[in-house]
Amino acid sequence: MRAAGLAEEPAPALPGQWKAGRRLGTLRRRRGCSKASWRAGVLEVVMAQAYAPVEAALGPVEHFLSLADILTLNGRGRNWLLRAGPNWRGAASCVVPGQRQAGPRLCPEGLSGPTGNCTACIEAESPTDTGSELEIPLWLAKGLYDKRRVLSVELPKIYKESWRTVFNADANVVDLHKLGPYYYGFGSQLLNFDSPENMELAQSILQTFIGRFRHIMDSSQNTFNEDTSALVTRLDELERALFQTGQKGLHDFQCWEMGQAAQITVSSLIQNYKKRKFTDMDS
Amino acid sequence: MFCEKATELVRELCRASDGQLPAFNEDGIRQVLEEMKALYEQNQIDVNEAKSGHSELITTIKFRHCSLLRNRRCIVAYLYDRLLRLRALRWEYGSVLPNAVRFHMSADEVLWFNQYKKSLATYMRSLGGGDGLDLTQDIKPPKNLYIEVRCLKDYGEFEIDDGTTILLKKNSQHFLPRWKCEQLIRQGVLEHILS
Repeated sequence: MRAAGLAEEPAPALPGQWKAGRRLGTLRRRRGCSKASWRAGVLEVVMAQAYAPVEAALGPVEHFLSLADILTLNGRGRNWLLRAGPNWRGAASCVVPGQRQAGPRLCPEGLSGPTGNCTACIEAESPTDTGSELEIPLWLAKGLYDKRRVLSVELPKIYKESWRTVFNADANVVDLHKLGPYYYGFGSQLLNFDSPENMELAQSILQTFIGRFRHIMDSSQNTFNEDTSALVTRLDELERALFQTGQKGLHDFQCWEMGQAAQITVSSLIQNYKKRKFTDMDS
Repeated sequence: MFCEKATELVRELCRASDGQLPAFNEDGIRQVLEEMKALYEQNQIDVNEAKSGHSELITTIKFRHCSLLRNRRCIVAYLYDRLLRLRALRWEYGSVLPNAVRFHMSADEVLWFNQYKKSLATYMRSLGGGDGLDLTQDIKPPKNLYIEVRCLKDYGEFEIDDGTTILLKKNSQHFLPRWKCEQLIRQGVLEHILS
């Protein structure tokens, strides 16, 4: 058995980096973490690198295969409203129960039972059904929205004027995860419906992001080996991904600084599998 | 609402966001396909009626068509994302997957995985002027050909390239060629010790 004789990596020469590193180093010592637990914390954050999901496309166009985009489009939310336009009657007239016995009936609430007594059905049944308001998911609204003006779209509450004022005042205090959780993605998808407020909407989304970005960047770059759940709870899904990326960069840098960059580590994917096996055995 | 089932499939994958492979939801897929079939048949009836003058049906047809497209998109994305995860597993685990993973794969996925393995192997053999090059080795640039490792569990006997066998016992330390033990380190059998 010989000594490995691996030389420690030289300390980084750039003064700025050195300063930042020392700050975190003292942070570790002050918190009294042992180097081993320190390293364990580092390991946990490093995500599975071989697997990279299809990223969500931001903007009016979506990415067909992105899971996040699919869930974004599913958003109807409590506030998502749709006003049936003058041509909606066509759809409504064929929801009348009894006309079609076999197969699922068209009903905005889905494959309801034989009675079909969901509120949307009843609303649509009535002769004055134009102008009735339905809550439908975004993907459906996007599909039905066309030149024939079957429906007109009303912006959800959080994208309306009153909430925009709130975002303008201070975007940092808003709990976007509760309102969203895909605030940015959903908002930019709304630009597909040529609403007169489009310009203000786009501006507001952009300004919200600009206002919140600094806080996210600061917190992700300066929280090392700490519980981040409190910082993350109020972030939108897009911001969470941003936060994770920042954390990963910080950890990789720390690893390099402590001379661990060359160390071969356990694959985090495999490690997670091992953890889960334990829980399976317990249950 | 239509497409609830399909969205549930997607959500299931999103919940395991760290790249793990959840069990293949065959039942969910079947239900979505059934829903699509019903929607399609219903639409065919209405299309025929619309052709004979019932133009007020067009919105209904469109509604069902949107649901069909949505279902299709969800299923395609579900299957595609699973393939991405499988591909990642090939790079992390090597060519032999543990049973826990294999039970979660569908028959078609097993087939795909084997073919992916095969084409990756063919490609790696063709590299390096015919000698072959293992791309999964040396993901981090090596500093030394030999590294010191500690066993984390009893692994049994292990043969290195000069023909000697060593016993990998828990807590024993060895000085081994790096390329021999990189895979074992990534699998958590050995631990790489930095001096």
